[in-house]
Amino acid sequence: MNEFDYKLLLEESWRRRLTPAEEASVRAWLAQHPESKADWELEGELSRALDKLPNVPVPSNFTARVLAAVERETAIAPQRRVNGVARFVRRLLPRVAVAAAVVAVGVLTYQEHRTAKRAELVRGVQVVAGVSSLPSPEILQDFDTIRQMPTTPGPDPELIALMK
Amino acid sequence: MSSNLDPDAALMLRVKQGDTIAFTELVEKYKQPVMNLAYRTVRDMTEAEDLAQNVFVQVYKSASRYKTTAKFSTWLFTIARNLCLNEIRRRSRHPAESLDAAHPEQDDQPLQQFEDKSTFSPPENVLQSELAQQIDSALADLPENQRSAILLCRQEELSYEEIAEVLGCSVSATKSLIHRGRETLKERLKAYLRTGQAKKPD
Repeated sequence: MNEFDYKLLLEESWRRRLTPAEEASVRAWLAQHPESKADWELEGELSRALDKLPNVPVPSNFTARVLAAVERETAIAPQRRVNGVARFVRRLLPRVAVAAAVVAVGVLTYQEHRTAKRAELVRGVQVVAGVSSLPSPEILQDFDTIRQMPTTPGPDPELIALMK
Repeated sequence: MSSNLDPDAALMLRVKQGDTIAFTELVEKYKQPVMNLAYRTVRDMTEAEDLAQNVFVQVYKSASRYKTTAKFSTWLFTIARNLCLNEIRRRSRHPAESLDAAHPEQDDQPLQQFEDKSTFSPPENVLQSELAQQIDSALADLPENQRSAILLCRQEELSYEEIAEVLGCSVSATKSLIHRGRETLKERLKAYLRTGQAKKPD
């Protein structure tokens, strides 16, 4: 047996009495390790003392009292359930109302937004529809030439002669 | 039903069906260990009785949630410990002391004397009684988790896995709690333990 096994048996001794074989193993190990003997004996004495701790007195009518308490609990349990539902509803109702109001505001806001978007779309479509009466592309073939022509009228020679 | 089923689990299956006879059997079997744990946690007989009672009421009310794959005693002691912890927390918020609770400054006074019940030590075994009182007092001074671990380990003979489940920690943490608690107890009680008598240390 090694120290690890000794510690395992020590831990087992905390829970229960060791078997004769286990006790023999421990004695053999302690013969090789006398420095641990005092602590092993103290552990044993503590375990025996804990075993001898007296039981706390239990009232003779303990079980009857438990059964009576259980009967009381089961008798008021259905009423408690009804009260519980009513309390739950009372507590929940204001929160549900607030949540419903928030949702309603949200829905209305969204509806308005959609209506505004639709109106904007309609206006846009109308603008585009107006553009449909534009002339055909052929008339733009001389666009560059026309563009280069002077936009302001040239000098009027008759007017200039009159002013002289 | 499988014959491998834990007898207590079999009783709980009947309790789930509303069988109060099965429930009574469980109460009779476990009322003592539950009272031991409750008293050694709250150190007040009246409160310990109420707590122990509430443990079993809670067991009955929670029967539908009990799974037969779990060992009944583990489940029971988990409920017991949780109710004890609730009581400790309640006291820390409302620190009105019980008149029955022992006070550290009254070390020269005997601990609360129990009524003469059939399970208690006979009065002529004075030395054993005094040693038991010393151990009780030393246990009371341990942190709750160490005390619970030691009591569940030694008195209820739960496995380390079961104790870990009750305490809500790992097996190695459980062993560490027990080790530290026992080291404290050995240090405090070694004079009493070595002489085998309830002799005050020099």
